[in-house]
Amino acid sequence: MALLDIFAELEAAVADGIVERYAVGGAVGATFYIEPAATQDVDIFVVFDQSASLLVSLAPIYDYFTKRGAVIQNEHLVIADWPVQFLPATTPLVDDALIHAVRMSVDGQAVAVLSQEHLAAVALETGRMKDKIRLSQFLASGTFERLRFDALTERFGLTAKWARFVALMEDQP
Amino acid sequence: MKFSMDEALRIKRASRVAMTATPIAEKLRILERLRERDRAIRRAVIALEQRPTRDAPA
Repeated sequence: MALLDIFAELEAAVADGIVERYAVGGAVGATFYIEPAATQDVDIFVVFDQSASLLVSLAPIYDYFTKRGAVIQNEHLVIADWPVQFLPATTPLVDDALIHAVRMSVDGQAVAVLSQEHLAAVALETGRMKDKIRLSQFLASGTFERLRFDALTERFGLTAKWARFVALMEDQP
Repeated sequence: MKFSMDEALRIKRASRVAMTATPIAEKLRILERLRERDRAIRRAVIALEQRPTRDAPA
């Protein structure tokens, strides 16, 4: 499975010291908890050493993966035939999400994934229609920890967005 | 045949619960198949759009 090859590459990048931490997010991350939804790319949140510069540069990550066979395509790196987008942790919520990422194993391949409560909070923060649909699916999943999610919305200033989302959902059958 | 919206929604919900409970490896395989299907549709649409039409100048 191509996605497992990507997870293996990410683990190698951590082992080689290119990234400090990473976690799978977006639709691929959500698939670990809810039903799969078609997506064209893989979102990877990363923390890496930026001590050399005040600007966030993904150059070391791009250099590393292109040397291992990845191809640059617009804002993506194509790894194992999937466009992969690396997203630096630039908000306190994503920082926290990376600290609390969940280690999983798929067919024996280790991978770090954002927790579903953090994925839901990131979806609420991002706020596109597909994020709202994903958020409603998280809320309906039997394993979602609502108290943990509520704490995240309060801590990261998302209560107004949450209130708007609840009002939107109240209009649905 | 009678149609019940409540019953249709109940079946949809049950299907979603079953899909959510599917093993992660299987769900990731489904994700890959969904992407392949999307790509095939896009390729077919592009091929259709690029096909010369009868009215096109020679």
